[in-house]
Amino acid sequence: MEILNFIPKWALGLIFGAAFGFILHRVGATQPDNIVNMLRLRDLRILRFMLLAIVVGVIAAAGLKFFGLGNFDVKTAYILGVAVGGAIFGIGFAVAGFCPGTSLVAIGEGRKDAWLFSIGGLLGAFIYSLAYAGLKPMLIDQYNLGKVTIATYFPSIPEVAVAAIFAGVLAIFAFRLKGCDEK
Amino acid sequence: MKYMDWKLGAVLLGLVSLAAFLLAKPIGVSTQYVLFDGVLINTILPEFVVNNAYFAKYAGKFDPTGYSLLFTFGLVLGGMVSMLTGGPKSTGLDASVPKTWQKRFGKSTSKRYIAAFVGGVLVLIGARLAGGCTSGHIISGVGQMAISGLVFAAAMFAAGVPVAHYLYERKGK
Repeated sequence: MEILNFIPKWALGLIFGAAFGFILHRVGATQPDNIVNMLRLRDLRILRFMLLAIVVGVIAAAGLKFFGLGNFDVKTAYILGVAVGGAIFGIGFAVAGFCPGTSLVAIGEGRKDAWLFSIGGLLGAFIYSLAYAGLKPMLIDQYNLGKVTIATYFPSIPEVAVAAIFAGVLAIFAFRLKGCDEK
Repeated sequence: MKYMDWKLGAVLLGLVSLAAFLLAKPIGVSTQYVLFDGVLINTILPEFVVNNAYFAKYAGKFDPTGYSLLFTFGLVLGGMVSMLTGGPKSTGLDASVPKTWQKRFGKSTSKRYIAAFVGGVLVLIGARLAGGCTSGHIISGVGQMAISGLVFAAAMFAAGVPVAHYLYERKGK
């Protein structure tokens, strides 16, 4: 979008960050209680929120790509490292009720425990930088599928069609899932 | 005030994601912790940043006025603006110790702070090993139908659900 090039990058960062944070805060994703109750499968509102946001994202990404627009970056699927990392993440997520983004938003709201989480996060990222060289041969270089998407495995179907089906399936989950404490 | 309707929030978040795809790059937060560490360490011990294999991957990105760190600052700002304009707000002890935590582990703030700190350490170790977090792997990643995002989400719930049950479903104080 060359027309919008007059907006400096840092201003875009600030605007997108503020919009992202505002929405996460308004839906309650930055309250640890809501995250913990999602993981306890008692109140799945935040999960449904994420699923539907992804549905919009899938349609948006496929649409932009169709018109040759947008900047995309599919993360590499080194299955073992991503799975082990996801599991460690899940444990910390259950303990604290924050993720890296929601804790920053919660700091803005005035939550004191969010400061501790984010400072812990800086230490965690630093610890990982020390472990990286040692972990890389086992967890990152092995079982590496590359930058693959669902569409990679259906080469005969147009990507827009794969996206439409995937978005439809996620939307069903978004509207059907219910936690056991919800009416 | 009560929370925004999840459906409206989801559509708005999806649109922010769309705008980021279009004008900048896919949204992701956990990398910003690395960049923040990098900016900090770069001022104290620049040789470490150069010699460490992980920080070396991000060389040249330790710019305190760049897109990424302003995005991080925007997150804090967004939470603040929402709270000041009538968004949900925890008060008193609830702003330090969540209700679910109080029910199970009591009202001690130091206990909660230790858990939040340890949780933060684990979450960022996990996110950096996996190469992203809830925003980068799930919102942006699964949004691009990435296999990595699906694996991350599955692993996160596979570990998070049993741990949450173990921690919070037992009888507490």
